[in-house]
Amino acid sequence: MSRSGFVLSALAVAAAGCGPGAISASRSFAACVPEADAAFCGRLGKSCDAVTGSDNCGTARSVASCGSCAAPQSCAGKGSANVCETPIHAVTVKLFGTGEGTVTSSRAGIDCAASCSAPFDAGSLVTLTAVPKPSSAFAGFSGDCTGQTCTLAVEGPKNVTATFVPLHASHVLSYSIRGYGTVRTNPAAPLGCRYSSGICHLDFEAGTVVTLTASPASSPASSPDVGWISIFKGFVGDCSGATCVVPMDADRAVTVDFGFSRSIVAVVSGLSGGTLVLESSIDGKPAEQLSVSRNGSHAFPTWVSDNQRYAVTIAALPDRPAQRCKVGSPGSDGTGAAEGPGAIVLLVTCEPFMVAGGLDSPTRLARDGSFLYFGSGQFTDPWAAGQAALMRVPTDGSTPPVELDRLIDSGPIASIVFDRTFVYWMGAGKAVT
Amino acid sequence: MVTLFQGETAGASLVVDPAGAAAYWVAAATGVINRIPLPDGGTSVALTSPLGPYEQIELAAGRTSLFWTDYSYVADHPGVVNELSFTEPPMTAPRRFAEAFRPSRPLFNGPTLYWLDQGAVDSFMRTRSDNLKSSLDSGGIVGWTDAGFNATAFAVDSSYAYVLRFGVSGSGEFEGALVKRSLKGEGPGDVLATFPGYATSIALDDENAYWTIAFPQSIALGSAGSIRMVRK
Repeated sequence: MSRSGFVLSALAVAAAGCGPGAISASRSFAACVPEADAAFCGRLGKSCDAVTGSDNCGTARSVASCGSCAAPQSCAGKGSANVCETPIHAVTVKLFGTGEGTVTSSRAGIDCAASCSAPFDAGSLVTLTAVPKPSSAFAGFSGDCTGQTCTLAVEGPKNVTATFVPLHASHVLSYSIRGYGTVRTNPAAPLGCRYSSGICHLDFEAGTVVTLTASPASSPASSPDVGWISIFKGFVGDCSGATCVVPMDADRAVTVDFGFSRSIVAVVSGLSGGTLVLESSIDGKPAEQLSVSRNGSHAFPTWVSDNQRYAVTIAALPDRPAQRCKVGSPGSDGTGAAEGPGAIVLLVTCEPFMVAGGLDSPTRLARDGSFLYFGSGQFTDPWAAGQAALMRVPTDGSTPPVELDRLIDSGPIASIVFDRTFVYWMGAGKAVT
Repeated sequence: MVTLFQGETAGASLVVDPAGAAAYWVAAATGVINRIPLPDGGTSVALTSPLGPYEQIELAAGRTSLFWTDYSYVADHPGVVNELSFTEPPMTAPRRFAEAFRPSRPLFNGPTLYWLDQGAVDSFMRTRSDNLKSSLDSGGIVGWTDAGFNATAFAVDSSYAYVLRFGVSGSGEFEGALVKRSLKGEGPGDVLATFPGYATSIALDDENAYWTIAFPQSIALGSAGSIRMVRK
């Protein structure tokens, strides 16, 4: 064996007989290496001191003591001094089996299969995690760890074997969920769900026929009480429609599609009596009518699904007393397309209807056909002189009142009557047609 | 537009006879009923002798006769409904058609004359029990319908009377109501609308009732009057 600057000669020594004798060794080398030759030199009762340039094992020297080192540290020579050092131990993982997977360590270092051995400080705790590939299963750890989980106390070198086995003749059913709901399979997957990026991967033996059942979410945030619910819309992918039965003769992928159904809620304000009739339509088809006789929230019985177009209109205005109502508010006219969770809330505001307003003490109302005639004017008492106007307005209030005549220095219009041809009216001291 | 008559006296009530031969009007200060020929107007001729400055005369035109209610503010003169044929000459004394109590608002609907009997106290504003009376113009009262408190005006159709009334709330504001009542006196009536303000007149069509609110508060002046509508 030859090392640089160091020649070790092998000497065969045989001791014969039982008498006293001695075995001696002679060496000749240029310099010793402390880490390698300390024991050799020690057996010679000498020490190896590279610092002093000793060319061989010199006489044992006295060096500074480490004092006491806290476990797991130990005293070790470092140049001309002794220091406390933490030992380093290797943890080595061996992948075993015909399956595929990875093993990683909680403390950075091991990431099999890329790097299956790493040094760790003595006394540290290292947890190893095994993750099989979809086509494999992790069978367990062995060696310095056993079972499905592994936590090592590194008090010395550790060797662990992780065994992966193939899922023989199995296929993966992967499903993702859109919306609010859950899915279960029959039969259940033996190993349960392996999630990856929100997708559930289930392993089934080849040939298994799996039935998926979808259940919309029901929670306080999704219930009829708050005007909307989650609904199951269907399966998409390797099965479609309302039911899903998949033979596991290959890997399968399914999307479970949940949507929303929500009520149309009319929030009525300003109603001062009578009955307001609202009418809804869905996708252009009349849906139903809703009679409202009080202010507050009123929901149509039929709910609206995603993307359906809805409209709410007024079918009949309250007529006792007459009112005018409108659906909508700034930015909303009572129509739209259903989307997202939450009820469709539409504002309906009503206000009293007046054929005409802002009038000066109207009186003597008389109707002729579709027109109303009345007198108007401001008087401090019925017989005070003033200006009285004969006014006319359509009964539907579609246009403002117009003044037909004005009586100067008159009392209020006292009478308005009709015959088949004329309208007659009278103020103080004046009767005209 | 033709001015049929112009004078210094204040007119209080005006009707036209169904034949269109004359208009009749009341001189409010005296209670004299005058006749003006139609269609061109002309001299207004007094048909009745003065009834006195304390009378409130209101006219209604029947098919062949002129009727008028004499409200009578005189304590011992409770009021009457009078009749005068359109063809009769001027008369010196009214002919009583019916005894009444503070009658007002005479109104024909077909052959039937209706009027309000007010309720026997000293102030119109404090009327307590108003009766809506009806009578054939051939004579004789045939029935009455309770118009409720404080009726101010009414209209009728074939089955119902629509009565405007008002009350005074504690705050001094007027609170009006429009009440629909059967002409047969059946049932308590149906309040079609309530409203703040002093309602003064009413008109009907086939579907709706219309009424005027002269002013919405106790202050009469101001341009806050309105015409309202309600389905009958």
